[in-house]
Amino acid sequence: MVEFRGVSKTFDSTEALNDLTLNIRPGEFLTLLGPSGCGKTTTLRLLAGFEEPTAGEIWLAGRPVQGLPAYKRPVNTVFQHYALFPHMTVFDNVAFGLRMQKVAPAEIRRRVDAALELVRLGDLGKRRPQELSGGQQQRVALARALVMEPKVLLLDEPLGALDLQLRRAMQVELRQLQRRLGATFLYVTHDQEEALAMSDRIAVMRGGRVEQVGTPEEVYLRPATKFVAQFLGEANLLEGEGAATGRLRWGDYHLAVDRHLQPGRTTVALRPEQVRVRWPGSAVPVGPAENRLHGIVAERLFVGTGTRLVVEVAGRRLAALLPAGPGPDLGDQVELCFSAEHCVVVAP
Amino acid sequence: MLAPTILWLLALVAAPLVLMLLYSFAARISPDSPWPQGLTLEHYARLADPLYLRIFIRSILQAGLATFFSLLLGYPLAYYIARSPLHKRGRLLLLVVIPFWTNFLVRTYALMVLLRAQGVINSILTATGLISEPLNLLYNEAAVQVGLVYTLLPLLILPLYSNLEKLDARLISAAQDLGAGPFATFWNVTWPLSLPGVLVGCMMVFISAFGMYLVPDLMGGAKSIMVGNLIQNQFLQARNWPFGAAVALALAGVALVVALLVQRAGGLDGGEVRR
Repeated sequence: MVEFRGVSKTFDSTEALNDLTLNIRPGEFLTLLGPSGCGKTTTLRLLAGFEEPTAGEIWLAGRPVQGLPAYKRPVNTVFQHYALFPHMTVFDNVAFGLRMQKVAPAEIRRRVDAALELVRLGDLGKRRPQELSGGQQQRVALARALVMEPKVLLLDEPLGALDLQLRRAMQVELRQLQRRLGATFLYVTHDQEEALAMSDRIAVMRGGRVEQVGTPEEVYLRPATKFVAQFLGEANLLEGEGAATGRLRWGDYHLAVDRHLQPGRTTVALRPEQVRVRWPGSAVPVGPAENRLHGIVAERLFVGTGTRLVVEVAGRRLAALLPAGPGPDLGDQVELCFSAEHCVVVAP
Repeated sequence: MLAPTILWLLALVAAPLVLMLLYSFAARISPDSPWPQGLTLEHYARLADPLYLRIFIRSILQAGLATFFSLLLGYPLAYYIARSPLHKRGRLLLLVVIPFWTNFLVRTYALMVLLRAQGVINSILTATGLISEPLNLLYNEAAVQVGLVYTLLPLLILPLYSNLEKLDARLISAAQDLGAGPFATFWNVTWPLSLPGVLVGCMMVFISAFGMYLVPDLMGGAKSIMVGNLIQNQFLQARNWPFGAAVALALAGVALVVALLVQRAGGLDGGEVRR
């Protein structure tokens, strides 16, 4: 549906986007995820037509779109702070795009009503945006863009201004809507949980480049780089040397990792929840070929769903997530067990 | 803390106004006493005299026209300044304000130097052979228009600028995103949202132009007399203070009505224009 082919964008002398190549498939929910300044919003604005690339090409539905002004592109945007027209009613806001296309009034009425119904605002058409709650305004912005039946719907941190509960509810709603309509969504967020929960695929961005593209499971479970491992959730990064045995030499330990290592410096990512903790008197079993490290509990923090431990192993610190229930005390000797497949080799 | 302000306003605004009001109903005033004597409505009745009515109507037309031209010239300028990069805006605004700080009389004379028969414009046109006789650029109603627009333009630009500067650029993006070209975006988004600024700016220009004395006096011909000149004439030449006061209050009345209309439309609320 959309192809970015080697797209770069430079503002003055700062590089916002560097040689981006990305495909968005029809009907896909693709999320651009990254910290602020990573180029995700620039990517969106390039596709919307608010910026022109410095280099490269953008193809939309089989056509290059460079040089086409924003108002001629068959994409629509849900803006970060909604950008609803304050001098128009909700109905007029949603009807705006159709009126620009000179659609017949009866048809406008039908489609706007349907769009408002879709976002469950059927009876608020006569209100002004200022009279609505944040969540309702968000839905108006969504209806205003969706009513245009865009080839791709662009969403720029659309839930960023909502409180946590509402955001969760809207995440579900948005995702259901996207599935129901079979629409292509390009979604921008810096919220990793949101990205994991909603997306078909995630493109993790940093410094104007894409670090990894994959399904939420892929990017979370098999991060390609250190940055991806740390940006999505928490990760222990074990930095060591590839040993002759193909294992990772990490301090005095030789750890089995997810592949046979070549000699040289290597970094391995390990999720705290993949680490099982054994302490004297615990009944946690050990798997056959598991890595086992010995250390002392240096910190413990109750996090609701469990207890987060920081264990000092030969002068280095590793985090482990303990399921709710009994656990070791501070200063206890513990054993950390984890399997080779959870030690993911990551690029620096 | 408000007491000094209130005292100031009472002494220097309210008191003279009340005095004017009393004068406008006075049958006569004597040179020996500051107090008006007698009570009559004849001065207000006299306002309906076609001679004076014409002056009022001409003033309203002149002021209206000046407002229209100011808007035509001022809107693009205010828009341009408001959309300039932040560091440039201050300098551009200064350029608007500097003439405003310059002595009014000096500015008017400077304009006359440009326009008069042996003035800059006529000299250039004659020298280049485009015309053989100097054009009549001064002492007519067109000259008054030029003078009014020139001197009052900043009054429109400043409030309009402060309105346009607050206009959310994302709304412009949103309109474009929904398929509105540059003109449709302006007409459907920028213009309606800038109406409060437009109204206030127009009000400032209109009221100032309506009561303008100096510009028609210096640049106008015998026929382009406006209300301001009539008042001056009554107070200083005809020495008819009561009638002068009545004219002045009528002028204030028109200004008040305009201000009320603008307020009704929402221009003075600082909010959006009601529909």
